[in-house]
Amino acid sequence: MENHNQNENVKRGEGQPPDSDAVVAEALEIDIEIEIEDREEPIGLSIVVDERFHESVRARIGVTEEMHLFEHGHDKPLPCPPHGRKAIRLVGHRCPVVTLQVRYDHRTIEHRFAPSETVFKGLQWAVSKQGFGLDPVAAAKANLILPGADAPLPREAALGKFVKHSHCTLVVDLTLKDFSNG
Amino acid sequence: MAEAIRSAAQRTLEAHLSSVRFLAGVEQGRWEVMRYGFSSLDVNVTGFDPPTGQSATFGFQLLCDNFPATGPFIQHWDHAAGKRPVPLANSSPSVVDALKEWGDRPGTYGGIYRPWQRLAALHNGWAAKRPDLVWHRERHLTFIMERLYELVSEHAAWLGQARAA
Repeated sequence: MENHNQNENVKRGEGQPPDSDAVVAEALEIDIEIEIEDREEPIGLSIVVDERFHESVRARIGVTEEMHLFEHGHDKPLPCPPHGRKAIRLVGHRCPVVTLQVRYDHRTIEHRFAPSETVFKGLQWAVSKQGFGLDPVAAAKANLILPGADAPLPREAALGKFVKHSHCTLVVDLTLKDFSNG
Repeated sequence: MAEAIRSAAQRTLEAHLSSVRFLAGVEQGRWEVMRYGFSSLDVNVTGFDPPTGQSATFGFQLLCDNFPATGPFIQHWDHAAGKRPVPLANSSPSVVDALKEWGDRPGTYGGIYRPWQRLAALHNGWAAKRPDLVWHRERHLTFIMERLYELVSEHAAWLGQARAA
């Protein structure tokens, strides 16, 4: 079952603006959904953004070991949420970088991604001229799949979700199995 | 009873619209709500192709009646004109196929031709072939938004490659 935690403390009401004290409080608080490595369910929380952002997040989710924080889909660590953000999806991962190895047509190519970057971004690279240089017809059929798996990796998922413990490398096959026509 | 069902669908849809993962997509500039009045949701989706640096934006209309038991009916949409634009001719074959005019019955339009779209899922057993891409009631609205993002990004990639050629 897909579970996307709804935060119980969302304050995005419509109508008249709140008083100034409330405005300050709202401006500093952000709603977060965080995925931790390969844990099945993300965690939802609201947190006040300040210079102790990382520590606060780690304390709230109960992580003691080393963990890098990224915004989902982005390629750089996130020291602090950008100003003005009200909602953000984070990925917490022990690997600062994931090496994606893609196998196709008796060749293996690799590229380094942040663990927060998506399977879709990895696929975009793999089919591009920097990757295997597939033509548009082939590229449209392409998917990344774990070796031996039946279904392609979900494209919106973070690459770090599929990295095995004690590794920072992800090996996948590029498949052109035609899923595109009904 | 009908009112209760409608209200439940509306409440669920609006909970999805105010969720962190939907709002994060808005704040990242990947999608934007242009107009909402249950059960119609008009959005712009901006796709991006990192290898070419090309982006593209398409409008879509999602009809979300009986949500989430039934997945949205989705069509390419011109917000200014308030109607579906003419089918796209210049794009990758896959995107052209997704946005083509088609329908199971003469004179009807079947929506975006992808397994995650309400009517297309019923076409030629697509739902059985790609359960990972078919809507079910446990899914979140962002499942659809991500698929639309991929579709528009595929068009962006085609534009980027055409520009470089």
